[in-house]
Amino acid sequence: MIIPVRCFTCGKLIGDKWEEFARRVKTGEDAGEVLDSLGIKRYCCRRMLLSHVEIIDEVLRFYEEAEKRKEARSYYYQQ
Amino acid sequence: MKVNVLKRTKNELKIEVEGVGHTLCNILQRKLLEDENVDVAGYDIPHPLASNPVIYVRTKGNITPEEALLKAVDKLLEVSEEFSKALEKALKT
Amino acid sequence: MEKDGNTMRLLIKGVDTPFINALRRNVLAEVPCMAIDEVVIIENSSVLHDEIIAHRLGLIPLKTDLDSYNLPEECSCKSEFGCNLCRVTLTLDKEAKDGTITVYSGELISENPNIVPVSDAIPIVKLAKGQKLRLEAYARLGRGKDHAKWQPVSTCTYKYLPRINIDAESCDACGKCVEICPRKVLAKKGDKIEVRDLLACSLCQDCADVCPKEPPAIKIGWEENAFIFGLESTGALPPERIMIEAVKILKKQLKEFASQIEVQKA
Repeated sequence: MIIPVRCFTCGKLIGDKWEEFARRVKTGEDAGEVLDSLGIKRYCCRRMLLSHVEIIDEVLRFYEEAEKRKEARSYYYQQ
Repeated sequence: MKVNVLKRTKNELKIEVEGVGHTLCNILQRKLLEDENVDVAGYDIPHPLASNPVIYVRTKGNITPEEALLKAVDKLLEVSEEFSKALEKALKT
Repeated sequence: MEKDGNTMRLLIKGVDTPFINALRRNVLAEVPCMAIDEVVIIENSSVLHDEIIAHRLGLIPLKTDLDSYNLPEECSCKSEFGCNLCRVTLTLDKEAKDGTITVYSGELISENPNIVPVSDAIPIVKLAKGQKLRLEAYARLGRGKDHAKWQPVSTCTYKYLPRINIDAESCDACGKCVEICPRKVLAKKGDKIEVRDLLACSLCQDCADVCPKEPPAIKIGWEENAFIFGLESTGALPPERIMIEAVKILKKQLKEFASQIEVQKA
């Protein structure tokens, strides 16, 4: 859903590093090198960022869509 | 922390210690075994989740098990005092 | 020995394994630190459930001030809800007015400016337009044995100090051990093999296995009663303080045990 605050295995704080990681990987940097430069050295913490998919962005779309429909419906009934 | 005596003879003592774990028992056991007046020293945690450790001490008879335990604690306090001094010194530099 | 931000490595000599293990266990389970424990959700229309948000808040490491706060069970107030000496209130009030926003840990407003999240950039939740999040969170001191969020460290380890013996007579500096070593501990210097980085050695013995000589010209052993103690703080407490606290707690436990034995004796 959203990036976990800490590494599941060792408890290192990783939540604050996700956005930088995602941005830099998107610009074409090598993921491993980004992790190294962020100071994430254990593989338990590395997999947290590497394997993460930010689904919350998709979920938010449903909410927005539902809101739009509600608006449209209320507009229709007003007529 | 609470200590319940399970068994007490002239040179044996078996106690159950509430609210501690391997941390304390293991260092105690090591120090008791280093004492030459102690015959047997050991501890057991009957169930890892649901029970307290049971410490067993048997001395060779010239000191009581309580004395042996107190001696071990004193030795450990000495070690930790020494350690904290060394640590503070190392952290300053 | 060496320190880098939140991580620290110590070279400890002259103590035995049970003692160093007791220290490690105390660091993990007994050294208190701050974390959010109870959350009152006033309004939450985000896509995450109240419980998930509360859990995420709990995991945020908070900078801890051990000297001015008490553990709730030891606090003089004896109150279920805590007092100023054992509880810190943090509040959060966010609404996505136009467009999606991310709520960060830095937006938590603490009543004590010293007790704040270690990092301001931890995402708590994302809000779509029109969603609201209002809550009040209560942080308190706790111990790692009750919940991992109260652990002041992420890792705390110790290992033996390695000792590498190279038999100069039988070693012909073939370099096989240099190649196989995963940690690059060894280096070839002229016609001799030398130890380059002793502390990196993981005692894997690969070098001894690969040595063509019989018996191997290289021998990996370890020093008795010397340890490399590694500790990585979450940022809640400085690593030095964690070590000092761990020894202090150990002493307290020992004294308490001794007094209990005295009672039994009497």
